[in-house]
This record gives sequence, structure tokens and C-alpha cells, in this order.
Amino acid sequence: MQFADFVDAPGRPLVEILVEPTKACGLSLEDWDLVVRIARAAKLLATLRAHLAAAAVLDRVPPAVAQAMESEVAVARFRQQMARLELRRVERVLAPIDVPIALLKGAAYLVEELAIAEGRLLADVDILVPRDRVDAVERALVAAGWDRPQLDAHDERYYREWSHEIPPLRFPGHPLELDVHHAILPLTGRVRPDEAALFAASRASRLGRFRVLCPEDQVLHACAHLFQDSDLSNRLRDLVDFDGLVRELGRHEAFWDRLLDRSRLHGLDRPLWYAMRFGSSALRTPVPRRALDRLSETAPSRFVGGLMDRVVPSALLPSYPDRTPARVRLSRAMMAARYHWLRLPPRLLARHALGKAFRGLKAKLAAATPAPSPR
Amino acid sequence: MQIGDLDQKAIERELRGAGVAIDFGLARVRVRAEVTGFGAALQLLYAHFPFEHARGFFEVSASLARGRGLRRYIRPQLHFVVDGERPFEPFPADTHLPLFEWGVNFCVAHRCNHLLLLHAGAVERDGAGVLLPALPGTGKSTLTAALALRGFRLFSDEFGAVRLADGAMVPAPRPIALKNDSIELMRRFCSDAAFGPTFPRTRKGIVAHLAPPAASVARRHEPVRPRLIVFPRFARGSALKIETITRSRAFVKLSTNSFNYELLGPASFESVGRLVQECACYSLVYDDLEAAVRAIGDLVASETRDEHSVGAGQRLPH
Repeated sequence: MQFADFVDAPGRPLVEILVEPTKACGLSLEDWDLVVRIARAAKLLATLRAHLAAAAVLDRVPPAVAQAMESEVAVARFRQQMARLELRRVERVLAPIDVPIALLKGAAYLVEELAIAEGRLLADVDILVPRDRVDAVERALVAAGWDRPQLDAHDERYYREWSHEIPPLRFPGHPLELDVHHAILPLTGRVRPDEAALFAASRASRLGRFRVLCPEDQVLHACAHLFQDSDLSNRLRDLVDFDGLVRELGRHEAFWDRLLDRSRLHGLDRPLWYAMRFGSSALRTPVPRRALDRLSETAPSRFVGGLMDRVVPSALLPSYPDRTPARVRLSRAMMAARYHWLRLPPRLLARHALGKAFRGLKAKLAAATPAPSPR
Repeated sequence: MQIGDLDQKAIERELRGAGVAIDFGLARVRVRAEVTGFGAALQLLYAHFPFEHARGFFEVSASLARGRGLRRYIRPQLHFVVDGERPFEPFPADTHLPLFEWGVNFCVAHRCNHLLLLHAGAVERDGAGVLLPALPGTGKSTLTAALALRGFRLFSDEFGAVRLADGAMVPAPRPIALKNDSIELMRRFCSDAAFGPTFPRTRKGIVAHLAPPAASVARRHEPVRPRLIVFPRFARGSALKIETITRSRAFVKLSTNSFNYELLGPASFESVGRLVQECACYSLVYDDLEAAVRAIGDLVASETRDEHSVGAGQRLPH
């Protein structure tokens, strides 16, 4: 199977260059125009530049394109600097509290100086604490000046009872949000990774008291995040994360056996299987044959696998910047439905959908009633 | 062929098709639009820009899209769409040109971080770049427009764009948005100034745009070395007052009135440091626009006199 064969995908040149940066050398200015617009929309423009730099082909990029990339690199660098600042503040504020804190995703890649951190555009800082300590952590942060968002009763309840994180906190004037997690997947979902095991296997990071998940758990978290906890829409970046993690952390011979053991422990075989399948076909992620074989019991049925093969690429790859073809819209709708299905048991899902529809209707009615103009 | 020479049918056709390309030096924009009146306004204000087919690389590919559903008919709205995103609230459909200009400014501020972007008017005369950094509402655009109408080369009324590598000012000559009383003031200041349509109901009141002079547009790819920084402030009834200000104070004023000083980190620190080292820095309080223009002309003259005596003024690479 070739991933991009399924779709007349506008994101295809971007994917090809990420895999093989020398392919950038033959691009015309028109080609670059589309690649840059799509990379920007996929939050991969600075990452793209990092790939080109690593392959020593930056000098083949036209000057205007190189400038657009430099601009994005400046933004990525700034956010990373702000993330470090946020972590230092968090560390200071939480100093009196005896609690293990693990960095997740981008914050972990940044602190561990992984290759994929280069040019990665952070939107928030994610940390993981044990569930029984999350209230203490939140109280300390709010007392130190972090703002909680104003939420209605439903959203508050959603976060408190169903979600794997508390409502995002933000320090006033700070560009990044702080997401405090107590699990890596929603509490209501069908898959419940073992948090105690995550902490038990975690290790000291290069920054102060913060910990990071063990390499295998980092990879599994990336898989879970993409294939268990997202609608896959325009999420090429998450697959690029998985690919980069495997390439960097998976060099040891023992990595794959440990990864499969951890995957079984956390119940994440299926998301891992999808990540390996789509990573290897789209980005040529080096996945050994025996790893796929070992997952054969928990692999999707031929029907489901075949369906995902057809739907995932068009949902996941960036679409045209100016229009979304019907096929992509359909794929994304299907993957959104799958996401809700995985996240909520049917009874909760029905309640959630009804509640949402009802609140939407109420908001529409309120908007239709003329209100006094603020101006 | 320039945008102003095109017949109106042709520009409307381009706007609804592949889009109209505008290269304003600092960046290239491609715009598509499905609204009547925008083409005509674009032709007035971008008259001197070469007409190009929208092929090649563009920093910004935008479209002005009409609201859907009821919003098509009842108080119709127009969205600024860039790469499938709608970064801000729609405008009323008849304020198409202010929406476009505002949207392009937004994109430049977000996507041109390879440059230091000061919130400043910028002009040039006799090879000396002049930066006019000021907060909104202090008459920056009006003063920049007055200078452009009195023979200064227009760089921008909004962006003092400075290259990080060599400190050169990059031109971005685009229409100057004038608000409320400034519009009449500028019509009196120069009776044959080229204005676009007047938009009576925008969020900032009445807005009309002044077209960038043809000579400034023609030289939009020629950067210049900044030599003078003037912090202007309009004060009604005040006598003209020019004072030199210290480099440290100029540094603080520049760095706190920039679009991306924080974002660029050490690079912008270096860049602003270089600016205050290499430029003469003044504050200017004025009421009479003619007097302010003359005063800035005199400051430029004294700077360039000094320059000839030391034999500087080398050509900058494009």
C-alpha cells in the first residue's frame, strides 16, 4: 500500500519532501507556493525547514520561500523559549508540593532536546501529575496567578468527570496555555492506560525536578494521542512526531520488544498498529516486520483495516488551502464520529450530543433576538 | 501594463478567477474577491503597481468571501480568508478595501518575522531612511502621508521593517489609511492627492485611503539605510518643538512599540541597538503639518550633509 495513492492529495509534495528533502530541489515557485501554504496550515513549516537543513539543501530553496520559513522558525523558537519560562515558573510554584511531574509531548521533546523539537510549533505546555494530587497542583498554580477559563456547568463537568486533563490554565500575558493532565486518555474512553505504570517507568528529565515518560511510553502516548484521542483531521504533524520519535528513540535493538510489551500493558496495541501502518507507508517510518507480526492478534479486521486505509489518509493529510473536497469532508466526518465513539460510552455520547444540540439551539435563539449594540 | 490601466471587467474577472497579484516590496499578496466595488477601489489605490498574473510564490494568498446563508442578504458581511482560516471577525460587505488592507497588515505582522517590524511610519529622501515610530492615534499616518505628498519616498505608514542581517529598511508602499478629520486635512494639504473611495462606517469611523505615489511604487524593491528616527506627536495648538533624545530612551521607545521585538529575542535587541547607534534620534511635537514636513526635511538635509563629508552612502543590495 502506498499512503498517498489513495488521494489526489495536495499535501503529497509536502509529505514527499519531509521523507526525502532532496526532492525540494526541483520545485518551481508555483510548487513552493502550495507546499508552503499547506505546511503552514499543518503547522509543519518550521519543521520542513529543519528537514531541509538536516539534508543540507536549504541553499536550493528560493529566497522568498526561505524567508517565509525563517519567519516561522522565529515564531517556533519564541514559543519554545516561552515554554521553558513557563516550566521554570511551574517548578518554582510547585516546589513545596511533593508530587512527581512528567512532561508530555512537545514540552518533553523540547527539554530532552530531541531532533523533532527543532522547529516544532508549540501551542501549549502539557504536564502529567497523579490524579489524587491534581487538585493540590491546580490550587497552587491558581494561587500563584494562573487564570482558569470561565466555563459553563456542562464544560466544567466535562473536564472534571470525563476528561484526562483539567481546564487549561494560562498565566496572564503568557502566550502558551498550561495543560495539567492526570491521564493520557479520557477517563470515559474504552482504553485506559495505566498511569501508575507511566510514572513508575518515567525518568528524570534534563530540567530540574521534571520527569519524562520512558522512550516507549513517549511513542505510545504519541500513538494514543493521534489514533485514540483525535478526529485525525489535518493531523499529519502527529504522524511526523511518531515518525521522528521512532527514528530517534528506536535505535536500540531492544526498543521494539519493550515497545510491544508496554503497548500490551497499556492496552494501546491498536493505536500503535495504526501508527506503524500509516507511519511506515506515508513517512517510511522504519518499522520491523516482526513488530507488525507480533500485533497481528490485536490488528483490526480486514474490513476495518481496509476502511481505515481508505479513510485515514484523506482525513489526516492537509487538504487544499482554499477548498475541502467532498471526499475529504466525508473522511473527516467519519473520523470525527469514530473519535466520539472511542471517547464516550454510547449512553454518555447520546447525552453529550443531545446536550450540545440543545445548547446550540439556545445560543442560536439568543443570537436571533436583537440585543442592544455595544457600540 | 499597470493595475490602473486594466479595464474594470478584466480586473473583476481576475478577482473571481486566479486572483490579482500585488508585489509591494516587503511581500507579495494574491487576492481573490467575490464582491462588487472592490476591483474598482483596488484599481484606484494600486494603480501604479504592475499587473501580474497570480502565478509564483506569495507570502499571502487571501480572499474576501461573502457571508453564507442569511448573511448574504441581510446586512451582508465579508470575511477575510487566508489559507482556509478566518483570523478575525467579518466586516460589513461594503467595507471591502479596509478589510483587505487590515487583513494584509495582520498577515505581514504574523508572517514577516524575518524582519524587525516596528510600529512606525517610514519614508526616505536623498538616500536617508526616516523612521517615525508612534502609537496609534498620534497622527503617524497623517504625517507619513504629508511627507509622501511632499516628495519623500513612501516606505509604509504602518511598518518600519528593518532587515536583521544588515539593518536596512525595507519598503512596503501601500495605500495609507486616513481616518475622520485627517481625510479633509489631507485633501486641503494637497489638492490633487489620489484618494480611493470613502468608507463612512468602519470600526474606526470614516476611512479613506491615499494611493502610494507612483515613484515610491516603482522603487519598492530598493531598501535604504535608516539615518533618522523621529518620534512624532500631534498636539493641537502646540508650537513646533524638536528635541534630541538620548539613545537609551530611543531604544526603550522603539522596543516597546514593535510588532515582534519580544518574538525575535536577541536578534531584535541587536537590531534596535544598531538603529539607535546609527540614527540621529529626535522627538517632534507639532500642530502645523507643513511646518512638521519642513522640519523633517531639514533634519534629513543636515544628516545627509554629514554623510557626504564622511563619504558614506554606499548602495545596498536588494
